[in-house]
Amino acid sequence: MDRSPIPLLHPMLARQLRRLGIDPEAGPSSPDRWQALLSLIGNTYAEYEQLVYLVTRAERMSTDELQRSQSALAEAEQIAGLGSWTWRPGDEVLRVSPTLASLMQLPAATRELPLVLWLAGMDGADRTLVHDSLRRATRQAVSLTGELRLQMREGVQRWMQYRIVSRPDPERPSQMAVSGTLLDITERMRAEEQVRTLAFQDPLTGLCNRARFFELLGHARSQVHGSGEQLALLFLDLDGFKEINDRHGHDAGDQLLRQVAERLRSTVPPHDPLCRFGGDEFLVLIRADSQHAALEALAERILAAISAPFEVEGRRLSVGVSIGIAVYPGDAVSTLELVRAADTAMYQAKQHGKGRVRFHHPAHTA
Amino acid sequence: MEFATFVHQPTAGWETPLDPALDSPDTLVLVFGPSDALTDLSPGSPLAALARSLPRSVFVSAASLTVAQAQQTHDGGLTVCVARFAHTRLRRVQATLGPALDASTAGQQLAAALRDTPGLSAVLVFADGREVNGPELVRGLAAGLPDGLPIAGGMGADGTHAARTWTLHADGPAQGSVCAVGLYGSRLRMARSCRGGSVGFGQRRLVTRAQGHTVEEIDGQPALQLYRQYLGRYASGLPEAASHFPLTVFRRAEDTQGVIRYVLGIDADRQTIDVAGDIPAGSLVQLSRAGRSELIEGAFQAAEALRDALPVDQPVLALVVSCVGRRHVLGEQTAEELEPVAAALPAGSALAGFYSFGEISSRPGQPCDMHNMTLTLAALWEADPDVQEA
Repeated sequence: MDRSPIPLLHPMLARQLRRLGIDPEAGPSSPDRWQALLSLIGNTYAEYEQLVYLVTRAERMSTDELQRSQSALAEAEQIAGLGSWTWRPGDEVLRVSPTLASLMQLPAATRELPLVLWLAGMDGADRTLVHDSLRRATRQAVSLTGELRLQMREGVQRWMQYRIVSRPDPERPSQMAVSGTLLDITERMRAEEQVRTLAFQDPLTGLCNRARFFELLGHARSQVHGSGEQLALLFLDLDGFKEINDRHGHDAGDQLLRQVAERLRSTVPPHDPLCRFGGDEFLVLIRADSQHAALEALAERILAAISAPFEVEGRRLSVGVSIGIAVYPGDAVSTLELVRAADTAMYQAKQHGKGRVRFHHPAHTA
Repeated sequence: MEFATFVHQPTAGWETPLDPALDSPDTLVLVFGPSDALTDLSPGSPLAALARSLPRSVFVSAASLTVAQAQQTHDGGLTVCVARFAHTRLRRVQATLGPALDASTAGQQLAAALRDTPGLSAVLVFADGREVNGPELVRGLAAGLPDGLPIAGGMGADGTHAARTWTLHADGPAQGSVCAVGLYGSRLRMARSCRGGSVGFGQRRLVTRAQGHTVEEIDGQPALQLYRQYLGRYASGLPEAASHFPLTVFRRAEDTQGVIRYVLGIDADRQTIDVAGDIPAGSLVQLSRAGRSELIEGAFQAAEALRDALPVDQPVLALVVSCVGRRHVLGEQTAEELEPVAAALPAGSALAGFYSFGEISSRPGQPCDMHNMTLTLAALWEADPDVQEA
């Protein structure tokens, strides 16, 4: 078998030796050659040592800078309350930042979060949406944002704004790298909720205003529609309120209205909407009970509650109330019709001597 | 094609007598040496002797304190390459840069002038390494010439005097000159190779501020501060040690091979670094180390790459342009980088050149550029008419 000989010397070393006039096989032939060889070796070592020093130093510089920039990033995340995560499609875990761990109330050292656990903490509808978004992100470059509810320990729910971004993974050809952020927006959502509440509240009594009541009424109508259930609308108008206003002033009138609202709240079942319709008019929406007797009993309780004297600015003041009742869908087919029908019935009650309850009767309709 | 090289030493004079038989309109005379010797046309000066012996020839020169001939380097001497072509015509064009003419435009104008004459086969270009932005010049020149047309040359360097590179006009030398020689004819061949040997280390960083040949900021930090930080204990050797630590420049992030920039000097007040050539803002740089063994290994590689492109049995005139930075690092060993080159040339060939502020050539698969810290070789010969090149 033909076998080429293995060279005993590395070709580069042999070349270096020949350059120094040294036969690679025989070694240095004179003190001069020895001197040259030793000087070359010395040089080579010195240069090698220099390179090792420089490379090590450069690596340490890069590592330090990386650490500095990572801790700066973590600090910025913490200040912003913004948690971040990265995910490589196919992995079972997300890599999460310290801020994200803290946002999700995970142990501080948590850096990996199982994907299933993350999804499991979400509200059902949100989970489906996020799951679909992640699937999209694995197939194409996306940038998606949305809001989701995360279930925390002890049943606390927090609102989070999320962003999911994907781009081609520079390290893995034809694969996507997915990353995202999570921002706790619970406080913002609460503030927004407050703004919404204020927009739908009667500022004097804290009851629903007209707009909100109509919205609730429309909602209730659509729920009972075709179910056989009924709705009853009680239209309340105070008797003798104008005189109090005229004699004791608007402040006294306002205080009285607030007390009326409180008494209504404690008389009407807790979930039935109450509305200050305007001036001294109030509306009560009662769900489900079609029995006139039961409605009448409630109306009587309201009459009694309002008829008891009020303490206003050290004075005992008395008002009465007239109540008209209309039933949906029996008396009306629309929200406005229902209100009008109850209003007409109330008017009938007033005409029959105030302090009374009147059911709507078709003949009353103008 | 006939050629010869001559050396003139300040004390000993011409080592071999000049040969007037080489003179012709198609004779190229390349003169390399210190700038004061290149400006002295007084009677009895070596330049006057050359002009008298070769009156019809085309002269081009570049200033350098160190010149090379065969395997020898000479400090303060003159090296002259004379080539009388049999089948190649020459045309010399030049430009003087000034406020109205930048390097890139000059390069384009020279290219346009050279292309005016049909049959252009190769271009040699020389310019002042201090006054002229070499990379811009080369880019302008290459942009105006056909793709793949071989370009070689270098930037003049003269460490002790105000650098001066000039062309020997009829009316004497001019400062700030750029000079190019077009070689015309189908039989002319120019093989080139260009290798450095510096080793890059550390991460690539972004040049965030730069002006011409001054690098002001890297990654938003003062350039010199970062440079010193990299060098650590070797920073105490600055500015002399800078020759050992050039910068590798990558113009685009995806580039795997960069261009080396030799660090000419540092400005401790402004915390900036001056390089030979330019490093535009937006480039990526990596600190590099030019060790002696690496540079000599680079010379071996340059020699091998050239040998692969040469005819086997025909002598060539080999022009060597090596970096002054290599000269600084190699010191007394400088001649050792010429040995492998001399060994790679066919019998009867000649080798001469100079140490420059910028070597003009292209690396395999890359456009022509101005390099530093490289050993750049360009071999000229005229091929037989029946030899078909691949």
